[in-house]
Amino acid sequence: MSETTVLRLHAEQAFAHELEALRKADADAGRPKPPRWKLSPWAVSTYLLGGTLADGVEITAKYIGPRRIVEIAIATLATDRALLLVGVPGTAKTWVSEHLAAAISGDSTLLVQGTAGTPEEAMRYGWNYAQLLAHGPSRDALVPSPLMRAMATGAIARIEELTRIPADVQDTLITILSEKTLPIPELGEETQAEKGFSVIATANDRDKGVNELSSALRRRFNTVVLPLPGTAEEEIEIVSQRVKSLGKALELPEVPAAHEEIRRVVTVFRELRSGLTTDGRTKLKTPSGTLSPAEAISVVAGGIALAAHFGDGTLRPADIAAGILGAVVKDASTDKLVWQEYLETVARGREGWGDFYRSCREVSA
Amino acid sequence: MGVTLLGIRHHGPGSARAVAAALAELQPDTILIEGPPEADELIPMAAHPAMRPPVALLVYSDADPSRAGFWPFAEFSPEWIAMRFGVGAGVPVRFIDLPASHRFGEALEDHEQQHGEEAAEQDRREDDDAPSDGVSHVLDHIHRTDPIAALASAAGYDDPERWWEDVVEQRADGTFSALDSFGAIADAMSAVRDHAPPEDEEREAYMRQCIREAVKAGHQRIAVVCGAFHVPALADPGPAAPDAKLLKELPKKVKTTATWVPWTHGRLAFRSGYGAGIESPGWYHHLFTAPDRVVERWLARVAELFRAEDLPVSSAHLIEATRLADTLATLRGRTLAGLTEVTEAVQSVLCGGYDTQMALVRDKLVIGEDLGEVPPDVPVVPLAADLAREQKRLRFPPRPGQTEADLDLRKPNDADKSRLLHRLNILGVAWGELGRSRSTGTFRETWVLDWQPEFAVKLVEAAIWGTTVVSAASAKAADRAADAEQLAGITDVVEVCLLADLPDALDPIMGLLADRAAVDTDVAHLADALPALARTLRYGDVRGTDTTALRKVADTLVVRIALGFPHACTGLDEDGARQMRARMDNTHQAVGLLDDAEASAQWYKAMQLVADREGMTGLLAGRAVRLLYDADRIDGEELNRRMGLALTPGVAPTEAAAWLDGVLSGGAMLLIHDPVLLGLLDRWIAGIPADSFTDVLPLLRRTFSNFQGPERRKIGELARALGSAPTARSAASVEPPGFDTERADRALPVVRMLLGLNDEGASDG
Repeated sequence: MSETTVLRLHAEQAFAHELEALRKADADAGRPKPPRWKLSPWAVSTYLLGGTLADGVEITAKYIGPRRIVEIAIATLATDRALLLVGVPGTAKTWVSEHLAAAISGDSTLLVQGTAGTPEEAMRYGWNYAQLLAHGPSRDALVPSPLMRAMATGAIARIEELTRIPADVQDTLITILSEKTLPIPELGEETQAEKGFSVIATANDRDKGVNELSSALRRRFNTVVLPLPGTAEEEIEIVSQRVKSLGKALELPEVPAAHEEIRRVVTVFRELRSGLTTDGRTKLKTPSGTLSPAEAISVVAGGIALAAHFGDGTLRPADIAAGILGAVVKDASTDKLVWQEYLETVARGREGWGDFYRSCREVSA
Repeated sequence: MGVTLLGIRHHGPGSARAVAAALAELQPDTILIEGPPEADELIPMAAHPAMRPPVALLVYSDADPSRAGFWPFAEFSPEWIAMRFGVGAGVPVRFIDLPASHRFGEALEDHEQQHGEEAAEQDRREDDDAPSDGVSHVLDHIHRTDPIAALASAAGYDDPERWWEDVVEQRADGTFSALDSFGAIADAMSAVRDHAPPEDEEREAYMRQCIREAVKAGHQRIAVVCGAFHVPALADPGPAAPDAKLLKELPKKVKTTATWVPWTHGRLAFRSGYGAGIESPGWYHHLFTAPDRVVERWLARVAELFRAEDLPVSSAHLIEATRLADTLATLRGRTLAGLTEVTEAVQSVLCGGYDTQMALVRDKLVIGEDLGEVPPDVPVVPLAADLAREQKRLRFPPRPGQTEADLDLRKPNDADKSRLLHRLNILGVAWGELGRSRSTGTFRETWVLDWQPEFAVKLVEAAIWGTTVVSAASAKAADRAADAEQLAGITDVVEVCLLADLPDALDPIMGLLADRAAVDTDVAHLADALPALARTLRYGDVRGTDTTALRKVADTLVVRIALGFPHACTGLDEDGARQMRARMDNTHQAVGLLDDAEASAQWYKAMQLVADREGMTGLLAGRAVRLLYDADRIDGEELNRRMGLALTPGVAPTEAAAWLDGVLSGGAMLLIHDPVLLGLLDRWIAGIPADSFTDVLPLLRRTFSNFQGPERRKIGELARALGSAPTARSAASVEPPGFDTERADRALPVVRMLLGLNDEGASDG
């Protein structure tokens, strides 16, 4: 196995030791597990929210946010209902869904990526045409979709960007979710879902022109809205943690903890997002972009790469200036004005922000 | 010995059920309840058929009614259950808390907030450093105010009532003895109290004294219903001497009165800012009344609510929501799903994850809008009784929450309602707020109604003014008028009095007004007072109030203004002149509303003087000319003459521009329809010397910028057409540019036919 050359490990690979420790903890405590679940609901929530096990193993927090959200998500899957995670881009929808699938089924790879061109075969099954022509329709000629495989093995299937999938293809899900079966009329057979099968779908509620779910389909999901981080501290924690793990995966040279710059990026993002300065005194224009934690992460990670390869190895305001400009200014005409106003009215006078202000001025000029 | 302590959670439905069961088991011969002893005589009323919770006991100090305390009870309050049980069983029921009258005698800052002792708002506002208000104190206080919630949260429950059900009521062996469970609660409280600093020693001393008294009186089975926290302190009364000594040091009692008042669920809720409130009265009510399957029944109510709002909810939704709530509870290690789990399930399954619809659930179900009722024979202050009578007579009962009332003042009943609301507003009982501006509709009023339970206190406070709504409002209005510093303040009161139909108040106020108007030498004050009077006179017509006295005052007021006005218009700077112009316009409008020949004549005479007087501020002189012209007091020729005079080279251009502003402001029609005026203006502007042109320009610009866009365009077009035309043409010959005579002629025959001028049209056709 050439683990080290893979750009990004699956959750169940990256956190294999944590999953194993939780499995042991479950066995020790004799916690009941829903059928085919690898972990008990308690262990799944500990895996996502973090904690220390009885034998001293530290579980890192995968999701930093309201505990309630994770609990609703797990309870939903435990009741064999499908789970729909909704939120603006960059609120860890995919992240949560991957880790849930990894913790519950030990496999986060049964994934359908939703696009405007997702065909029905991606949801049901396709055919191996060489086989089909040579031997006629049979199970051997059938190419099952990730969804179908999840049904057969009683695992969690994931559907990304459900609302981008055309409405007629979306509706394929209705039978699967309510009857828990996938008929194969060509063979006069069906695949019935094994216990443990469920679906986690993610959808973005910010994009325009998406295919809204039909009410019949929506009814089959329990919906959880993932919020933007509630407090600056929470967001700083999210960004720091992800930047650290990203840095490891990308083998970036070690850059000393850049807490101050992360705080600054988070502050800028939060202020622009809410249209109000932290002290609540100044109203601000809000840019067209989302300015999600995910973008803050990429700004900081990009800054670290700059600092490591071209700078002096310390994250300086100059390293993040370019990234932050790119994150804020999505629409050249309006967002640029927003950003300049922010620089001149807020960043300029703020104590300790002098370097940052000058670097940003240089970049935007 | 026969004292049984029932330690309860205030407003706890679980406690209420347990108290009911315990009392049935015990069959006590007397019941003592933590509550204000002043209200002892009111207890039997609890069983009155017309009494419907939520209600509250109100105890207020006779000397200062704003010092008051509320003890609210909901249907699910254990104290309420105990009261009704006692009254129903015919056993004596008494309140044993420290009398509120002691506390009213205390200094304000000493005011400890306890369950029930919810002082009226006024009290709280002064009481800035009341410890229970601070968020940081909440945790310290939860042990004391709600120790059962503290126990529940220690057991991992955030809904104390579900914990109670789970732990106290649902025994594994299926047996349940309410008395045993109270024993267990008492044990737990001893543990809680070990860590709490001693507080409320006086209250507990008083309670102990009451228990001793009951024992002495020979009662065999005494049931004491009190906050769980107090149970250990009351368990062993011990010697009476220390308690007696402690109570001796209390401040002297003040005289108080107690009564029942209706209360609302909203007021019980935490949200309203009462420290001892509960967060979810509607949910508690549901817990108390639902016979079984609490979660399912609750979800069915949610579905009903959503469907009533046209939000589709199917039974399948409810099945899934129930399953999710139960699974969530299991995941959290709770045996029963609480409000948190149910709410989360509703949001996730029924509301697509968003919380917009959840606000509806919160307001309508979790808190639950409900206003209690109190029987009519409850002793109340005469003023409140009068209000209740009026409300009944008008079929105008107070309702919880905000509602809107559209009143047609031509209907007697509606007019009476309007009067009632206006009167209550004078008394500071802001039940209704008048919406929309009064200048538009004269016979319609739209009120936003919102009855607050605290109005009970306001009514007690207002009782010093009189015994009926009318008399109290009259007295208060007269008092307000006497205190008014300026004339306008009085006329405002007059207006209110007329709206509220308070003729008794009006007479003294009129006298006051006449006197003050006579001595007030400042025309500005008089002029400010007039518009309100004129408005009220106009209202009087609609409402059928007698306004002859008022008219007399108004007419004399106009005369006084008219006499002083010309003098007041001289020697003003620019700002002063602008203010005076506003007064001139307002007075002019008011005079028009009054429509009295003599008063009008006086006023126009004054205007004439202003227009004529030499050295008058240009702005005001111009304005006077305009008002006279509008009122047909001078004709177009005169206007031309005056304009010519004002715009002669002899007058300083800035002064002339101010004059123009006065004439022209408020409408360009004058210029558009009178080409002579436009010509004069045109020539004057052309003749302004170059050096003063720049001074005049801003003034002119200001004048013209008040005109509408199309008006300005029209004037521009006319000015261009005018060129340097020296002669005045008749208005009829001025044709708008682009007017096609030939095409217009073709329409004439039809117009003739329509007007019945066929004889002429026939020759054409």
